[in-house]
Amino acid sequence: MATGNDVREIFQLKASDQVRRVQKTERKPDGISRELYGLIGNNVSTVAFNNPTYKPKLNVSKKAVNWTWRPFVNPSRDDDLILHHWEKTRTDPNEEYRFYKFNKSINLISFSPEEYSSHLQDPDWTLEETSYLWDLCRRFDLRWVVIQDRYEWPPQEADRLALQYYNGNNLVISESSPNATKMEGEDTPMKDASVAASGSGESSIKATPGGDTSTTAEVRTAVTATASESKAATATASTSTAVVSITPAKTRSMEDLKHRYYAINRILTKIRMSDASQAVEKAQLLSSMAYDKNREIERKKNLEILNTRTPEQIEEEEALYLEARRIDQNEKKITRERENLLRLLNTRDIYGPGGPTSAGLAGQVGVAGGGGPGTGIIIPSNSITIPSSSSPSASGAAGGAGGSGHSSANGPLSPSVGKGGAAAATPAAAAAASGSTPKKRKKAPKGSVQADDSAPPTPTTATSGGNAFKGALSNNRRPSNASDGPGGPSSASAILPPPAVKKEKLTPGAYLRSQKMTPIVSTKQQRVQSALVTLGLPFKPAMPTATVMAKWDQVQSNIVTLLDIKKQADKLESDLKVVKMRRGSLGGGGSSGSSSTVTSSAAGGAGGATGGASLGSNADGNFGVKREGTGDESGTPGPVKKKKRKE
Amino acid sequence: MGTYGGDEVAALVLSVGHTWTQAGYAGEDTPKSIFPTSVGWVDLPAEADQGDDADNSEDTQMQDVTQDGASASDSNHIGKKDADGGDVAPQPVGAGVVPSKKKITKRGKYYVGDGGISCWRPDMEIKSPMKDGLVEDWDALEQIWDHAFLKRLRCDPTEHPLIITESAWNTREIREKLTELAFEKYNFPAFFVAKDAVMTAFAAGRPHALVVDSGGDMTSVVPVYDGYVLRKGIMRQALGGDVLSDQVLQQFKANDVEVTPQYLIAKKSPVVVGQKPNVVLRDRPATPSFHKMMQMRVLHDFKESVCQVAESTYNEQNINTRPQKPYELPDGYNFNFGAERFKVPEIMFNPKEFLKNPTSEQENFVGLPKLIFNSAQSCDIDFRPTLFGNVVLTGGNTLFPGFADRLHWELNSIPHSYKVKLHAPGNTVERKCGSWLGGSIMASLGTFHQLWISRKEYDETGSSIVNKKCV
Repeated sequence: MATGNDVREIFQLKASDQVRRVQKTERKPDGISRELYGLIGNNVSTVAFNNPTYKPKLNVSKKAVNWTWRPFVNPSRDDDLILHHWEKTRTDPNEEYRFYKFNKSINLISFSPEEYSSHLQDPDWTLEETSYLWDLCRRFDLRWVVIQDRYEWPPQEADRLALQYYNGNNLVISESSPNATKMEGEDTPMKDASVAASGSGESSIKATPGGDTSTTAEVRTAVTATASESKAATATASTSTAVVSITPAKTRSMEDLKHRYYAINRILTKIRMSDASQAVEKAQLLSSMAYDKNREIERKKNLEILNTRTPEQIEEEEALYLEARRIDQNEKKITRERENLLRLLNTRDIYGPGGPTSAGLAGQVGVAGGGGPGTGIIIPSNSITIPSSSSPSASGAAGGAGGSGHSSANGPLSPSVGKGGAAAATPAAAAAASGSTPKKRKKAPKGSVQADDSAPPTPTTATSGGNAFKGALSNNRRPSNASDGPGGPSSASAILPPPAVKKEKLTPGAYLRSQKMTPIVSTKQQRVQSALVTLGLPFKPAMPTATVMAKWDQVQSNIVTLLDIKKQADKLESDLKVVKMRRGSLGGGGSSGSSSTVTSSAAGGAGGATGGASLGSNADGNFGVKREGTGDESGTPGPVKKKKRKE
Repeated sequence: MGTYGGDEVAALVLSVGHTWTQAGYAGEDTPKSIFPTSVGWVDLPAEADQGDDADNSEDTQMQDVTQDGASASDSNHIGKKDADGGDVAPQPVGAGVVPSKKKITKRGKYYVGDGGISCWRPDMEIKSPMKDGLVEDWDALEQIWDHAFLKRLRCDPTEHPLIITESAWNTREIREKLTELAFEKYNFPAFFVAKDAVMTAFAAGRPHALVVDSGGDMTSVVPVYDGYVLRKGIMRQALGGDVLSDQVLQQFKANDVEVTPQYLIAKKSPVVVGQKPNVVLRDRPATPSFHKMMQMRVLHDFKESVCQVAESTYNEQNINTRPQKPYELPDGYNFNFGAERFKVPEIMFNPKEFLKNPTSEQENFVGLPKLIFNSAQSCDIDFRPTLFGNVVLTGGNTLFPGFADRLHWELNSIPHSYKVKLHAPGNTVERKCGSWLGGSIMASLGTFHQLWISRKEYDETGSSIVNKKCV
């Protein structure tokens, strides 16, 4: 930061010593960072000024420290090897060796032969071998990789590696299976058979002091066998591939070893910590010693598979993953659209509760539900917002069956029913429909309850279920009967949300009454107006009384809803057209997977629709049917007419 | 001091490789002395001993050789040795016994060290005590130890602990014999044998490593886990720098070019590129082994100055666009080498294709990446990622320009899902003396001193203690 001093210097003026004094006296207090002090202090300088660091000069004034070449003994050693090193003369020569404290070894639970015979027996292991394992564990501080590498039971003293080498480079070059254990007894070449035999002889000596007679006997016989064999071999002087089988070395995998080690540790812990006061500690210890051999083997196998994938496989996997993600996203998109649609239907429901129209809605829900499981794409079974495969159709069908009583017992069972969801729903529905006995009737609610449970209890689910139920019930024309009618139990399962009545906004303060009108989105305004024109209504009511305005508001929002529904319907139509065209192009010959799913989805939709329609058995039946059959703007006329009628 | 944990006890570090022997003090970053492991041997008739001795010392004018001749000559040398070698080092009592026995069967003289073996002598045979990383010729090895400790380091063996390196596949017998040698002949107060692969990993600062060592006579891949060699993962083949040199020699022969070593050349005059050399030769009859060694030196120089490794898979077309490099043999023949200079080190990566006229053993060679991969594959699967992440490159044969890059590229092109990290010291000395350096570091650590095999332990247990203490 340029200070006044710098300016003075530039102009070759005398520096004011006042400033300098200030700089001298101001010192950054400790415990405060430079940056912070730069902000709060006297604002001395914001530029960091680092003194250049030079190599420290030789400090001649200070006296040099004396060092002595001194013998020392390392307490970590058993013997008293005396080595020499340089030490500062002033240090105490009798001080304990500085690196002694680093000599650490692990704590290994050991066992006595008695304990072994009473608790630790294992048919696959002998005491000697277990002791050998323990020895290795102690020696290599539980480095399992090394233990497994050095593990050789019965111990073969002959150094096989060297022998192998003299036999040529077979081992190195063998490309076949890099994982094969190379320390097998069979690998030992015969060239040094005598050495090998002497080695195994040593091993037999080692084994004899042990308790288990059978193994030592085995070893001995094996040794004699090999000895004779080697003699024979040398006698014949066959050079190349004669194989001497030394005592068959057990190959133990790391899992075997670990399994044994942890099993013994667990047993010993259990035996020794019998005191109840140590229960917690014991449990902790035991859990730390848990080892699942099979799981480990499985894990390693899977790892192996994972690591031996070829680039093509990896590529394919990646492609599949991408594809799956794409499908997932598509699904989500479609789900969202469906959700919007359903919401629209619900809002429509709010405005016109009850009435024959809702039967059509129920049919539409049926489309959704029935079509979903058939294709697995239109509505995913695991989607959150949309009722899962069974729930809507189950409750719908069950409710419908309940509502229509005995008349349409065959309805849900008819072949036109959507394949997946409806099929799942059939038992419940059939039970409910045919059920005059209370026992059977009880099943129906159970089924639907389960269905509802399986589906996340989002309001949409409930309302759509309720919708279907209501639509079916509308046959009775007595919605109030819901709870005591035959469909009663199922209605209990489909809990209806409290009827969403549009709340009046209470704006604080003074406001214009026109503000109470529901605002229409500007993009839709044009179309709403044109709709009003077709209805022969003016843009604004001539007599804006409260009732008229309420009605007016309702009309407007109805028109908006209608337009939305029309848009959706158009979209569905075009979708359907595309699907149909594709089916046509695929022709009769090729019934590939995609086409079959498409048809099934169509069938499912149709089934749901017709199911809903038949259940509705009212004027609105054509809604579903037309949508299905003719395939042009069939969805719209009905509702429009209805609305007109309502108007 | 406490931070790095060093505590130097003036230990000696000796690493006897196939081609080079390195000797020095622990705690230093380079060996004090590096000399060829090969030794020269001249058979002497008993009566001609003295005269020949005098001849040779005149001929070479090297202190090395005269001393050598003095200490290694036969029966009547004992008195001479006392006179000559008295100031060099106090010879242990047992020392005199062992060599004198041998001298009865073998009469002759050893020449050790660069000066000793590089000098032309009519009947000098050159031999290396090491074969496949194992000691074969104990007399020669003793000569090397003598040379290293008494002539080069000029130290008193009784005052210094000794740490030596051995190959990972060394046998028990050899280690025991080495221990015997250290305690019986040289009277070292303490001794240790360390695996060279572990030491290399140590020098690279890694407890776990996959040590790729490509030396003169062989290439080995050794997995190291926490300072222990995993024996089952050791992979090696006798494909090293010497094979490459041999291939170059063959190629020269095929092109009708004679590789004449320096010692045969009296006079030469420059010739045009590719023309026959214009040279006057000396009449110096030499043993085939000596001639071969001198040829190898020329070829070694050729490899060092010309050869290079292609960055990715060998592609003749790409290689032909590379600039050529001129090289002149000692006899004046010179040529510009193009693709040839890439083909030589390519043998390491693709022996099947580039190794010309392979012997039956050589036919089975696999490329270095495959060797590394096989070695890692034979280890536990949980440990493999660590191995691939710590590939340490060492050995003089890896010093071709582009070798490390190529190896990295090759390792990545083998299908596996590990991340490969290659540690290749850029410093050539570090690459050549990796195992010595590791020994130097380890022997100067305070925590190491509890591991020494002491004189006392040796006396109590015998030489087999080495197999117990040095694992």
